Amino acid sequence: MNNTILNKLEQANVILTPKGENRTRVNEMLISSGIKVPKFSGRCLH
Amino acid sequence: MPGVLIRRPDTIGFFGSDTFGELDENQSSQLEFEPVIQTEIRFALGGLSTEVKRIRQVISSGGDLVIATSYPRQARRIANTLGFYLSDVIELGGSVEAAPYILREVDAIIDVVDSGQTLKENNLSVVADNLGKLAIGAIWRKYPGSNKDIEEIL
Repeated sequence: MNNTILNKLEQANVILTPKGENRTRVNEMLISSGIKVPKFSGRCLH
Repeated sequence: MPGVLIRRPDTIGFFGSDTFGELDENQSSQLEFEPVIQTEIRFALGGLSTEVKRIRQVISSGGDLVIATSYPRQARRIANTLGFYLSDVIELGGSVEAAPYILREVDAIIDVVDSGQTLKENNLSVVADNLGKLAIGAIWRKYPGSNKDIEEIL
């Protein structure tokens, strides 16, 4: 992920993630970037 | 979900480019899409296995096809790319693979495929593959606006 997206993630109050297989891919990417993974797709992170 | 991103500027989402590609201009113009994960999932045009030869002939001659799909905007792009005339697009929310059996007027379908297993299970064959790969992208509102936007919906 580039810095623009990392900055957006740090500033965001809500992170929306997709469903299904794509959710797994996104979660893996978030974890590798040190971002806390939302418990449910489409749920608030904070 | 795109509606949430527009209404809540403190939100970032991750969606497939297939979702972003189907937004109307009013929505897409307000959002930024940055691809982050490339996938092997792609758009393909398929049809009944018994109709493949006819569909290929129609495409090569620039004829008319009725297409069932969940992606009408992509269907128009693909028709232009392959050079056939899209005489009608039947927009379905899902189960597109059933359309050639249920709707007699449907010549072919345009859908996303990965392994192609769903098509095989329904005795459908790919007529044209690799018509655009999907990416998962980060999406956020271009113009953050103010907290007033948030207060209005809470």
